[in-house]
Amino acid sequence: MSTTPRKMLTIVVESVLERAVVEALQRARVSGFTTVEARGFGEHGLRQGDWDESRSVRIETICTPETAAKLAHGLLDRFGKDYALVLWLQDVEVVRAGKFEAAADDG
Amino acid sequence: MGNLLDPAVLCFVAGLVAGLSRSELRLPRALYETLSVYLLLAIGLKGGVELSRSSLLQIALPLAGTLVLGLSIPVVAFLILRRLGRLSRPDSAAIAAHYGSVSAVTFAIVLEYLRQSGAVVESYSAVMLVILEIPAIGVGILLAKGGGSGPDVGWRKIARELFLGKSVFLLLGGLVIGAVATPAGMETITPLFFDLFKGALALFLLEMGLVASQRLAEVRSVGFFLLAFGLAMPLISAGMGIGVALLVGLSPGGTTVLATLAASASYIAAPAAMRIAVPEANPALYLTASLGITFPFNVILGIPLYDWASRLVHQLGG
Repeated sequence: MSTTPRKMLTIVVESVLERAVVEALQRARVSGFTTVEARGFGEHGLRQGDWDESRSVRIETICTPETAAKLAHGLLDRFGKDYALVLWLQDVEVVRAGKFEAAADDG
Repeated sequence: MGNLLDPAVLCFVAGLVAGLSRSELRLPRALYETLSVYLLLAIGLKGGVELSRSSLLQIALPLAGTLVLGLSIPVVAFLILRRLGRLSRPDSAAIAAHYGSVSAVTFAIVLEYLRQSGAVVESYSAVMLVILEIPAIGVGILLAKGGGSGPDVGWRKIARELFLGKSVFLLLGGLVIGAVATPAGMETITPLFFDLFKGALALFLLEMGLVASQRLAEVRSVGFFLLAFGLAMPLISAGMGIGVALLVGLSPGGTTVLATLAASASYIAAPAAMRIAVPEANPALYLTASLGITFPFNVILGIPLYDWASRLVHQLGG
């Protein structure tokens, strides 16, 4: 089975920013993303998710290394200082590379 | 102090006890969300039905007074936080916005309290709730920016957050539906929205007790000043509310409602708006003050106190 190297960008952020992050992903023309609700603990304390203000989401997208780096920098610049925001990149091998290139070249 | 033995208030206390004693009790999140939608819509509907019985002429002055109250409370709160508490400008402004804005659940509790004591309340009291919800948040944002030198606020985004946010949308929607729907039609939803209201409120307060207890546990980390502020500010704003109520000629019941509204602090609309508009403010401060200190104080002790004060000033005034 043939695979292609790509980057996976994982964003864990307070829910109030979900819409802004999704808009940033769409502007970067990623081919897709997956969002799940998240609970956990970090610099901003225990985020138990039982209350509007303590809710977090985990958003993952797979894209080219360049897009991933640009997105990560953009999000950190805008939200890194004041919000609960954690980002990381992973190398992944995707199957069916075509699925991850939907609109990548238009922008 | 009959309020203390009210089952809904006791449910709140039970939630507080469960949370503070680290009980296993946890209500499903979907229930909290469902109940909050139900309560906001029911409050709006009830207000709308009553509003349809009053005339514009009759409500113009009280509503103008309410607006002035909503604009002035955050300024007073801001000055106290900044001068006495020496908190940063963003923190002071964000907390001030919460205290100028209101809590719909506290409003529902005071209406139930007055209903049981047989007091008459102005038919447009739900409109006062809606009017107090938003202006203070705008004042808070302006105070945070301190004269416009700060970064772009993004007013459109904030207006969207406020007017299309859950609480204002449901309250306003309920008001309109209640005001225009036929009485016969309203009767068909009375069992769900009006008859079951108090029970749903009790269940919601159980959950609020759990949530508030978590905030209460953080009081130590926010400092003594904020604890004192969370207890003193509702008394100051209730006093301002009583003053405005007398000026615009509200009944004793209406005075209690306006005092309670003034004393209450927002924990749905304001936190969401402040997080977006004033991100540099620390949410732990405004949530702990509003939800951990002021909300329990108003529910358990504040409401009977404001009612007593309202009756007293009306008796003195003849």
